[in-house]
Amino acid sequence: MTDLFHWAKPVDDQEMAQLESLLQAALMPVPPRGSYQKDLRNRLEKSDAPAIELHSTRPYSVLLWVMAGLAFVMLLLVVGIKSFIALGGWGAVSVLRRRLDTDG
Amino acid sequence: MSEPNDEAILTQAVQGDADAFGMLYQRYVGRIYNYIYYRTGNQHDAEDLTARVFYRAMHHIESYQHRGLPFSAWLYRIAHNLVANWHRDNSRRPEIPLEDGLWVHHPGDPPEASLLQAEERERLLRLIHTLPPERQQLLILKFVEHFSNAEIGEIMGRTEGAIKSLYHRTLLSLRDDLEKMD
Repeated sequence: MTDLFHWAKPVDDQEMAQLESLLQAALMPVPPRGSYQKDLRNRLEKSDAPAIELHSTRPYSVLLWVMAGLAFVMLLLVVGIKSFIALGGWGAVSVLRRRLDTDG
Repeated sequence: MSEPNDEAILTQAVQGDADAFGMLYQRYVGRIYNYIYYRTGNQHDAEDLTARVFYRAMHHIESYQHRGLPFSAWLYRIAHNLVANWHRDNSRRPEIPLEDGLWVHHPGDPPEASLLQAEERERLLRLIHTLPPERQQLLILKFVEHFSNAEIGEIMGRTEGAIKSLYHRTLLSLRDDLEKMD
């Protein structure tokens, strides 16, 4: 059962001090790996490189692939439309259809 | 020779001095890493997010405005936001993994004692991870970074009194949770 009056329990200073020392022991500072610090420092120094070239590039690389894919589709569309216009557009299509109909 | 204070270095960094930013990086990388490490529970994400904090800081340092708060408050704010995004992105994960590396072994401890301590630490760290983000932030700033209540207040945008009260409530809730687990 939930203790609705947990906040009203008397505060035992000794218990709190013990909890604080437990927390202190659990939350010890952990220094970053030296090699990581140096590596990041070097990357920051050559910092015209965009942030996407950093450690975990997963989300950025996915985005790059999607953008490259979109650019490719756009290119195909542009080339397709240009060729369609160059060939005479719908007029050329109807000529082709008529020829196919007569051949068939 | 005494080290220049943050304000002097910041003035140079804001003007685009890369060396000045390098000094700020050197001064704060360990703290930011620790903060993120305890919020995420693993080294790889901590490294990744620490790097992102400093990239973000570097790209926005020229628009940094000094409002009387320590520079670290700005960095912790960036770190806090990135960790929040990380938690949101990983929210489908049922439990945050806690690495073995999180349990620091004290040389000289007898094996049984360190095993017991390791279990206690694990229990406590798991409990800390279940606390609301602001309480986790408070505990990390207090016990890992050893900031005073006033400094934590500056970082978290609260008054010293509010931090004291939040800390007290956090301890009480941890005590109750530990009692429930026993």
